[in-house]
Amino acid sequence: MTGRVLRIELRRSSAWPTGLVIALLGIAGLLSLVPTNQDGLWDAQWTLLASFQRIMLVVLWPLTLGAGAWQARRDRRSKAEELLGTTARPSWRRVLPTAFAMALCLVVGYVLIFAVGAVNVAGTTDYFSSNWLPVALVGALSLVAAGWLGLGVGRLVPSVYTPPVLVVLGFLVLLVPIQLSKGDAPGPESLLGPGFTTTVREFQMIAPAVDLGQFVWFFGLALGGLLLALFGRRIASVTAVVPVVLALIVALPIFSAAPAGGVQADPAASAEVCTHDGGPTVCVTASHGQDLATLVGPARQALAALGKLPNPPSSVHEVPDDRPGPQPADQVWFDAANHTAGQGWDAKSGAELAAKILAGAGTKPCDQGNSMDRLTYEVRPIVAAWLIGQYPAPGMAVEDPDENAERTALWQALAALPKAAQAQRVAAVRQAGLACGDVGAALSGGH
Amino acid sequence: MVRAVHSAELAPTTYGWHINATELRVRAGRRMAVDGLDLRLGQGVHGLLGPNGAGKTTLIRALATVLRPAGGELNLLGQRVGGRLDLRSLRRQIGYLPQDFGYYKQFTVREFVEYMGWLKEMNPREVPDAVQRAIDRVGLRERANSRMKQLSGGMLRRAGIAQAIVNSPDLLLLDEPTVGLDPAQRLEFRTLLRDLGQQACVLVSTHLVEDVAAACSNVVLMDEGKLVFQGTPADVAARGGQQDVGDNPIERGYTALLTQHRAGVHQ
Repeated sequence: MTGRVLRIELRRSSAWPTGLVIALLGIAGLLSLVPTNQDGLWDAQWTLLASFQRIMLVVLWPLTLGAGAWQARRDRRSKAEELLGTTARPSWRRVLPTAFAMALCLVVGYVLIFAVGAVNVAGTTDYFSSNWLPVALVGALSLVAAGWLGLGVGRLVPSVYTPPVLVVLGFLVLLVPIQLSKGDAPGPESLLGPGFTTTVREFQMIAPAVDLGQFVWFFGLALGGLLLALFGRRIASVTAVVPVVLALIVALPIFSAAPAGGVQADPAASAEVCTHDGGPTVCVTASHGQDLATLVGPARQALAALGKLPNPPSSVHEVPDDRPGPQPADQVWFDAANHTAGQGWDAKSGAELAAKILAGAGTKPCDQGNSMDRLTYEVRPIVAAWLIGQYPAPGMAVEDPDENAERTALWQALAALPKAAQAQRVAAVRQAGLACGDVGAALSGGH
Repeated sequence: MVRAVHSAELAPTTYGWHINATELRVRAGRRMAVDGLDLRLGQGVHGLLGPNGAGKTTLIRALATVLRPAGGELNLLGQRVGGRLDLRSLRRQIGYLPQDFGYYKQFTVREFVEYMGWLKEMNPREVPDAVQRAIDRVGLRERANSRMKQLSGGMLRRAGIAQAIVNSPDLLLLDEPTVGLDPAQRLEFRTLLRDLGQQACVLVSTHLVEDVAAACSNVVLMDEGKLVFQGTPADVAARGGQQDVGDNPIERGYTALLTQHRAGVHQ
């Protein structure tokens, strides 16, 4: 009979509209990034999808809180309190099917968001690990906690203002961990929110301690919310505080065991997948394993070009940003940032890809992005051009006239040298790149 | 008070008295709306009459265990109400239609009646048949799968009666059940009441004296929180004279009883 009532609640309560709204908003949040090609923020890897979904909880969580409070007002709204209050079944038994219907619909809504994202991720990467599972589980649990907490507060204060006030309050409360994370060293309390304040990248994962601590915390919060909903009276509802406080006491020390921000490297995602065909070894990260085949040809062209140098490298390795150095002399390191999820290597042709591998004579810049100094930025494509024997190297032309003039001057200075000196300078650039030294000085013959 | 034949004396039950109130006092807010009421009712259909503010709804709410007695003694179905009594077993045997019938708008009639059956802790195996039977008895078979929010006022009232009778209660309390019913529905409802009164104690609070005359075996007249009269509809009618206000004998009797009571109170 309780099953029949649960089915009635699933059909007729605000549980399924809530689940549907959560699913639609979440899916809209994911797909809104597709037109601007920012979907790599979530579709590059399974853990990224689960983590991005958690970030969206900053909006979905307060809404769920309000929806729970709205559902709790059903008796008052329907003016059915008197009639229902005269029935034999205790009110807490009456709340249970409603609470479970709400939880079920929220979980289904959350899973739907993940399922839609999963279609993209499955088409983007062959790499699959179970790291996403606890992240998604905790996300779904946190949503259930929000629903039940809203239901509890709504039963305690069945005012028409309770749902909107909870939405606003919930949103403000969730901003606290974000503000805390802006400090130099975010404390463990910044992990009490359902979302993440740290951007999770492709080769990272949520620390297991964070998953565990958050599971404990949201389980306690959900239990507290449920007790609040079941009792619905001010005095008895004090007991609802107990599981919340206990969860907090247990969770905070667990968070302390995790790295600041709660994110750590995912060794499985950055593990190497290599060729074993007898030719020079080419390796990519497991996360980009499906694009190994398209890298092999250009990578071996690059190795052949590097053969002009003394003690040339013998293998090419795609490496993520956080791969610790130093780069071995017999390896070419190719920055994983040259890969875009779902699109493959950032090059229009094999020649362009080979040129990218040869930038800096097969070394990975020690300083990334904006922190890379101007001279290093200029020297790397010049060395690639010299190794290929074509200036500018494929895909490395610059449109800015000043920059082009600067680069061309460097190229002409190198080309004016005798052949042996040119090779010596390029080899020096590689040596400087391997040692994180001054590549500009190496190209100009200084030290 | 004028004592007349009591319906329970005509149809004794296993409870003796389904409702047995002695010096019952019940508050409605700050006001003592039921003030020293003595009432004994058994199986049968009892019409509860009285002017506005007489205390009818407060009495019904106390009998439905919504309000706790502020004084006196109240026994329902053989159990004393008040103190620390667990009302759970008592409530299983009560059917109640409040004056302001609240319902879940999204539920269908069948779902709502089934839900109420669950809340009344009915045997799960009996619920589907009981729901169908209750819906049939109030004539809502064709609208059983309609949402409650789609029903007219009269249909809602019938759905309210269906939920009240789904558990075949021993004590059925109906507060203004005929509001919104059209004449044909009221005739059907009177038949239903007589039928229900065969097995249960049915207390119907109403303003419509003709409903009482047609369906009730017993009349309870209240004024200012007290019992004014208890007897058969014929007894009420016999109290009236041509000088009393009313369109029919029972209305004239009702007016006469009230006038007589108020005169006595003021003297």
